[in-house]
Amino acid sequence: MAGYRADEEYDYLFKLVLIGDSGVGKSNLLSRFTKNEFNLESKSTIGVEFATKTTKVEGKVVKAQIWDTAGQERYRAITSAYYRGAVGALLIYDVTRHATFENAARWLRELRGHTDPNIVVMLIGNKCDLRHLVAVKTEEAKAFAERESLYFMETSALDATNVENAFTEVLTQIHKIVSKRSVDGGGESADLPGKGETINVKEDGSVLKRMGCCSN
Amino acid sequence: MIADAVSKSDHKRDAYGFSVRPQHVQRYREYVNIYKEEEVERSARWSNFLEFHAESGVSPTNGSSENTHVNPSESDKKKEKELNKGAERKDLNADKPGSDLTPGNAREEDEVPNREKNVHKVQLWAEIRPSLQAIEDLMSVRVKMKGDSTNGEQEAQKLNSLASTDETESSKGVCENDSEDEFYDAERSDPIQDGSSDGTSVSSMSAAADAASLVSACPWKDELEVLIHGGAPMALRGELWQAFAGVKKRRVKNYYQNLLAADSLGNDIEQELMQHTDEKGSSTDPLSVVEKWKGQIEKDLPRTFPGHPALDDDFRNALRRLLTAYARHNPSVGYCQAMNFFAALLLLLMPEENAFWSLTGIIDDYFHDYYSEEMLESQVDQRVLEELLRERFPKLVHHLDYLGVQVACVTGPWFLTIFINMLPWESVLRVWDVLLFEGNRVMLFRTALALMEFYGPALVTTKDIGDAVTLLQSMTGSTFDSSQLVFTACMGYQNVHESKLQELRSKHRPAVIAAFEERLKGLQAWRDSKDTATKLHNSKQDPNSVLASKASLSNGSLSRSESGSSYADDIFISLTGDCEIDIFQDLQGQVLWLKGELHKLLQEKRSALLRAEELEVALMEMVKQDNRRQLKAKIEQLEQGVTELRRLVSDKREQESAMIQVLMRMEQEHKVTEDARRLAEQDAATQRYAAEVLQEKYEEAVAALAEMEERAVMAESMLEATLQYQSGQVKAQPSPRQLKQDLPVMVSP
Repeated sequence: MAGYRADEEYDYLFKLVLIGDSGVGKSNLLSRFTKNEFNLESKSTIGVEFATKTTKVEGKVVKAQIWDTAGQERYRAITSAYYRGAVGALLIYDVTRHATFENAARWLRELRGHTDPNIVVMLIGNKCDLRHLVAVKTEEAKAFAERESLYFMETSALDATNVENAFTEVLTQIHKIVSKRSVDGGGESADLPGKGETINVKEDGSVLKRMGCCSN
Repeated sequence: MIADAVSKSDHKRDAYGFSVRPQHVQRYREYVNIYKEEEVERSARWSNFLEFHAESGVSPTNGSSENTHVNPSESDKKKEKELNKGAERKDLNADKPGSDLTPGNAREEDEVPNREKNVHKVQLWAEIRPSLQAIEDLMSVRVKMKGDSTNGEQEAQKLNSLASTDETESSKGVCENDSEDEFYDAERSDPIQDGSSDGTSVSSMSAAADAASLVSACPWKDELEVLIHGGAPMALRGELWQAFAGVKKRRVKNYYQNLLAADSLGNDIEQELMQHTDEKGSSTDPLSVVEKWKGQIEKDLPRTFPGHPALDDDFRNALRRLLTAYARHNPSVGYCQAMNFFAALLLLLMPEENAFWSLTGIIDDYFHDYYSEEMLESQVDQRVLEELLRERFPKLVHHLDYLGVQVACVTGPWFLTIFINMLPWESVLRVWDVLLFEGNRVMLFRTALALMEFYGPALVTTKDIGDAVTLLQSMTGSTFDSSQLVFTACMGYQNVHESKLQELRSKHRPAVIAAFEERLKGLQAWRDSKDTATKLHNSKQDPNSVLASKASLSNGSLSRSESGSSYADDIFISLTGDCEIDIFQDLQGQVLWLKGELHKLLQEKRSALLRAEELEVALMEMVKQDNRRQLKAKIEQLEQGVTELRRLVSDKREQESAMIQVLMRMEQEHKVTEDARRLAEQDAATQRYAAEVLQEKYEEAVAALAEMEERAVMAESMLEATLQYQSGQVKAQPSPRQLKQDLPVMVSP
C-alpha cells in the first residue's frame, strides 16, 4: 500500500492522450502540467506512460487522466490501443521541425480511427520559446487546425507558456460537451461521452479565435 | 566505469550511477547495505564455484590449469573485498598489483578486466576472462544449435524477414503497384511465419533439449543456475552476460567494423546491404530507411540514461555506432526505441564490439520479431501474459476489468524495456542475469507475475484506472528487494516455461496478426488506390480458385443430382428415344448411357455457366479497370492540359506583369514630365508676374519722370519769368519811367 492514498473526490474523470512525433516534447508537456517540472534530460518514452491531475473547470472538479505515448512510428500499433475511451487529445508538433507538423495529419487519422468522433482535439505547437528557430508558421498551423476543426495553441513546456491553458481549454471544452449532454439526457451524472450521440465540435468555431497563442 | 560511478555516487544515484527517484531515495538507502552484503556473499560463492569447477577439470579449455592459479587470486580479491566492506572495485584494482603474488600469466589475465575498464573507450573487443570460458562454451552450445540447425529454418527466417521487409515497403507505399500483391504475400507468408517460429521454437526446444542433455552431463549446470538466481557479481556481470549470449561464438571478425565502414566509405556498403536486403530494386528506399533510423537514434542518444556520470561524448559516440551497426546488421528491425537502453547498458558493462554481439544475441534470438516494424511478438506476449494473469489472479483481473484497466499499458513497457527504468537498477540487473542465462523471455513473464503477486492486493483496493495504473507503476518502481523478486519469480512460477509460452503464443498470434492486418488495411485504404494492376491480377487469380472449388463441388454433388435429374433424363429420352432405340438394343444400357451423357452435358453446361459468370465478373472487373485506366489516362491528359494552361496562364501573367511594369514606368515618366511642365508653368507664371511688376514699376517711373519734366518746365518758365522780371527791374533803375513802364508788365501775367 506504499504510496497509495485514498483518491480525492471529483466530479468528472476525463481521459486525454498525448500524441505526436518523437522528440516533440510530449513527456515534458505532461510533467509540466501534472508536476510543474521540466527536464531537459528526459528519457525516451517506451510504450505508454501515464499521469493524472485534478483541476477545477467551470466550478467542477475534473480529474484528468493523461496518457503519454511513444513517438516512434512502429509503436503506433501498440499505443493506438490506448486511444480507446479518450475524450480529449493533444496532438503535438515541434515548431522548430516542420516534419513533425507534416505528420500531424497522419496522427490525426490514426486518432480518429480509434476514438469517438466527438473527441476534443487540440493541435499544439510546442517549443515556441525557441523563437529564432521557428520552422512552422503560426498561420500555417492555424489554417490546418481550422480545416480539421481542431483547437490550436502554441506552448512551451520549458518556460511553461500556455501549458496550463492548453490542458484547461481541452478540459473545459470536454466539460461543455459533457454537461450539455447531461442536461439533454435528463441530468444523468455525466461519465465519459457515450457513443452514438453526436456533438459537433465544429459548431462553435468561435473558439479558435478566442484562443491565445504565444507567438508574440 | 561502474566503479567510477560508484565512487562518485551520492544519495541521488545508485551504485551503478543511475539516478534514484526522489521518492525512493529513502528506501534505496535502506537497501544499500543489504545490496553490499549480498554482493560480498555472491562474490565469494562465485569465486568458490569457479575455483572448484576449474580444479575439478570439467572445463574443456586448455587454460584450466592456469585457471587454478587465477581463481585463488580472484577469491583473494573477493576476500579483500569482504574485508573492507563496501569497497569498490576500483580500490581493489588499485590494491591488486601490489598484493598480487600469483604467477605472471595469472596476473596478466587478471589485468584483462582492468585494462578493459580503463581503456574501454579505445578497446573495441576483448575476450572474457579464461575462468569463465567453461561457462561460455556451455552456453554457446545454444548459439551453435540455432545457427547450425536445419537450413529449412534459416530459410524460413529469411522468408520471414523478407515478408517483413515487404510489409514495411508496402506500409510505406513505395511500390504502389505491387503493394497489395505484397500484402497478400505477407498474408500468405504469415502461416509460414507461424510455422517457422513454431519451427524455431521446436528446433530451439530440441536444441535446448540437446543442450540440456549435454548440460546434464555437466554436473555444475544446476549449481550455476542457483548462482545466477542469486545474481551475478558486479565484477563478473559483463563477462557472464557475454558468456550467456554466446558472444564469442556469434562474433564474425571485422563484421562490426565493416558495418560501420559504410560511413567512411561512402554508400558502398549501404548499397551492398541494399542489394542483400532488397532485391525488388526500389533503389532509394533502404538508404532513406537508414536515414530514418539515424534521425531516431540521434533523438534518443541524449535521452538514454540522461545524467549518468559515465555517459560522456565518447560514450554517446560508441552508442551511436553500436545502434547504427545493429540497424545495418538487421534491417528488418533497424532501430526501435528501447534498444538504446539495452545498448547503453551493455556498453557500460563491456567493450563496444562485445556489446554489439550481445545485442544481436538478445534482439535477434531472444526477442525475435519483438522490435521489428510490426512489433507483433510484443503484442502476442501481452495477450499471453494477460491469459496467465487471468489464470493466476482471477480476483485481481476481475477488479481491473471492472475499472477498465488494460494491464498491457503497464506490463507492455515492462517487457519492451526488459524492466529498464521500470524497476530499481539492482532488480533490473538481477532480472537480466536470469533472462540472459536462460536465453528466452520466460523471465519476463515470471517477473511480471511475481510483481502482480506482490502488488495485486493493493491494486484491488483502487477505485479508478488512474489510481490503479499510478499505484502499480510507483510500487513497481520501488521494488528494491531484488532477491525476493527474483526468487519469487523463479521459484513461484516454475510452471511458466518456454514450451507453455510457445503454446499460448501460437494460440494468440492469429488474433494479433488479424488486428495488424486490419490496421494495415486501414492504412491501405487511406492511401491512393493506385493499385489497379494488382486488383486485376487478383480478380484473375480468384476466379480460378473459385472455379476449381466449384468444380469439385459439382463433382461431389453428382451423385445427388443423379436422382434429381432423372426427370430431365426421362424427357430427354422421350424426345430422342425413337432413333436411339434402334441403335441400342439393350434399353437399360441405353438409358444408362444416355443418363451418363446427359450428366456430362449438364455438368458441362453448369461449369460453362459458372465459367461464363466468372468470366463476366472478371470482364466487368477488367472493364472497370479499363475504364479506370481510360479515365486515368483522360485525367492525365486533362492534367497535362491543365498544367499547359497553367503554364500559359503563368506566361501570360508574366507578360502582363511585364507590360504592367512598362506601363507603370511610362506612367511614372509621364508623371515626371507633367511635374516638370507644371513646374515650368509655375516658373513662367512667376516670371510673368515679375515682368508685370517690373512693367508697373516702369510705368510708375515713366509717370514720375513726366511729372518731373512738367515740374522742370514749370520751373523753367518760372525761372524765365523771374529772369524777365529781374531784367525789367534792372532797366527801370536808370530811369524811373522805365521802371513805371515795366511794372504793369510784371503785374499783367
